[in-house]
Amino acid sequence: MTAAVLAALAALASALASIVAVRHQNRVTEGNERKRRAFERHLPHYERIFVSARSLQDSFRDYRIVSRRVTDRSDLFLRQLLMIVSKSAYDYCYEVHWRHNPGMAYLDLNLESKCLHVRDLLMQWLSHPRITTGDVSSIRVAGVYVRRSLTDVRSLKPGDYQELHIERRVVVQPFTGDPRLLADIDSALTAVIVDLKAVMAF
Amino acid sequence: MQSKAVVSAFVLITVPANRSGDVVDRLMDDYSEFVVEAAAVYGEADVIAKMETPSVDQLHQLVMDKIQNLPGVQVTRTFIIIPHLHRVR
Repeated sequence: MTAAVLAALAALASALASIVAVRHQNRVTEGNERKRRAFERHLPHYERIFVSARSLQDSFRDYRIVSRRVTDRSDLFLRQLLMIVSKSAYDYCYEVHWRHNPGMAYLDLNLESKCLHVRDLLMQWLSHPRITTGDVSSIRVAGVYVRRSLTDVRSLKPGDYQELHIERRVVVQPFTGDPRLLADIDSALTAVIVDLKAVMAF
Repeated sequence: MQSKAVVSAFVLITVPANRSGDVVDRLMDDYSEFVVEAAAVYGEADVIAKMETPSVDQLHQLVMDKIQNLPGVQVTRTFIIIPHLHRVR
């Protein structure tokens, strides 16, 4: 008698355990399904953030490399790179704003914070004045133009040059803020890109 | 009688289209003390001005601090006249 009751109880417990396991499995499946649907719906938005972050990092690195190497700060190429990186920064800041990109509302809270952290760093970088208009002077001696500073030109005497050439140019000033900010932006962007890759590979 | 040393130079000025007249007027009105003549021209430069200053330092100061800062002036090219090879009819 006791053995029969115990067997019945064991069977009941087993059945209950099975039901709980099945319900849990169903819940997990439903959860995954919901996540998948949400993911599929917002994938293009995540892609937009990813593309803007990647473009920004590429253009930012290009600008940093050329900015370090260039000897003439009025170089048009440097200015073009600055315009590209500024435009990329604007695009990124636009894409990580939930008003412009509904995908931000569905991002993991941690990843959202990382995206916004990059934006805050970019704001710091962009807030530094970088473009100034200045005069670039050179003198022609024996038919060859030689760059001379405006201070040097003031001390020249008649006969020191054949021609004094002064040109008004737009000059890209080097970044005068904390140099760690540039490295911080790059590493923060890398973190965002890696995490977004993981999200998109879901 | 004291002879007054003068440094003379031709300055070729590049300005955007339609600004040549304004630059000529500003040169003759604002810097009449130093600008002997100024003319808008066809060709490589847009305005050519002849200047006379008491010293080369003042010429450089005039070109770099004044003329280069006139609205629209993009490029100035200064050619100092060699005194003993300068003839005026």
